[in-house]
Amino acid sequence: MMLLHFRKFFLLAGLFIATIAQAEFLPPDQLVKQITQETYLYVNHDASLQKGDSSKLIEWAEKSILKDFDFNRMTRLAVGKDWRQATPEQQKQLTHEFRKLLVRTFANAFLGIKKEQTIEYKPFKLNPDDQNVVVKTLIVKPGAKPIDVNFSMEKMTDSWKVYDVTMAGISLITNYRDAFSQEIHTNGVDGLIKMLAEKNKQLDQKSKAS
Amino acid sequence: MQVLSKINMRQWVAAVVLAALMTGCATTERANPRDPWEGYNRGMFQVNDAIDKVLVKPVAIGYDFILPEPLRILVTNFFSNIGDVMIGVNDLLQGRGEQAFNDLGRVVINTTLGFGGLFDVAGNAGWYKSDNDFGVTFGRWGVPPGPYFVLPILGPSDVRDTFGWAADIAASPIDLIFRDPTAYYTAWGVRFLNTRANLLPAEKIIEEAATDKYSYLRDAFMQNRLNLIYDGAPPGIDADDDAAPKTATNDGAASQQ
Repeated sequence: MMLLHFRKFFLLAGLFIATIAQAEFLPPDQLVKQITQETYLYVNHDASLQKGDSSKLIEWAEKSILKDFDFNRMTRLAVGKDWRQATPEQQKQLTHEFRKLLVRTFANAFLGIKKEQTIEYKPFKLNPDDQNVVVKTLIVKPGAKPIDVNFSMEKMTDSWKVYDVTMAGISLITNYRDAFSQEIHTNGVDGLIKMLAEKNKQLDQKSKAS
Repeated sequence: MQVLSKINMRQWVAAVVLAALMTGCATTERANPRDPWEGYNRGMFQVNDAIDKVLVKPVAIGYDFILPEPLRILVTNFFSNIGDVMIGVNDLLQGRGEQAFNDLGRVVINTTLGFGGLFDVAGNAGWYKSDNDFGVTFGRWGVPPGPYFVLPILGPSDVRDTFGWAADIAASPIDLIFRDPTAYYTAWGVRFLNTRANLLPAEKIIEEAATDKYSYLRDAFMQNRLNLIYDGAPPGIDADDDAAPKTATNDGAASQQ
């Protein structure tokens, strides 16, 4: 118990320092550490979250960590080649709907991380001229195989941003590529927008009902 | 009696395959080049999903309910320890000595200090479990995956990994531990059920994330296999994103581990 509190204190202290440091240009590995630890702390501070209530986590994430994610690039990555054939308005709508779906997916995935699990950060070296880097972490759970979780980061003008997340080698973004291109070639870009909007609506209703 | 059940088993599998072929007649126009058998695959996927819904999942939920988590971890560890033997052998077949040392070292430590593999003592000490099988070995030897192929009951696979899976079953030391046929099949059954029960929490993520569950699982399977074959550093898939330069993997050294 003592140990647990100590660890919590340690994490909080680290978080505090990280928040101050954010005023400057946080290096990508530090940013990943900050995002993951803030989320880890938040998920584990509340028993209702442990039961799988993702809406609360989403609400929190919107106010804190999601500014560090580039959803525009994520949508572009998921849509692939067909992105160019979408009008700016369609691109905006696509990003809006896909963002909603992704945030929920991230929240669901993160809700699975329980107290007894730890996040390890693999050694990382940043070269001055790096524009795209991968920050590698390992989610370790006693009695199970550790899961590799990697964050692809891009350098923007004033900060680094996450544009892809892979778990056990599976990109949560590009995994949609085939399904999306299938939909675009059958029902056009508007078809894909409609499909995503319907999926989101369905999930909203489901979470309201439960 | 055993001969009889074997025949029934065969007929049953034949019936399942037939059902898959019939439900999967409608094919999509734009086929994925890796999935030329999409019609059959989607059918088998639906059949598997139905079997899972009415039979496997309810039993797994029951198993999950009856067996408290600490006990379930013991079961997982026990089979995981047996699995580590062949993981280590495959490491060796792929010429990854250091990884083999880790994985076979796990077997030695967990079999002795971990009471026959019930406790993952090695893992707690930082000798983490890894992932390997004959499918990965064939892949590293240069065997292409071939078409995506949904196996009855077992789900996502491809031609190479189906052969890999058969080799995994044949080589598994489980038959040395459970010599009696009944015990042997029970062991595989418990292992299957335990694996399914462990997947229950992940299900919601996939269910809510996927716009098309079939292609979501297929593409996840293919990405995961590629990642295993390339040891965590598969060739970039950003190529289609015109705005983005190819992702540089920052650390060749860290992925070696």
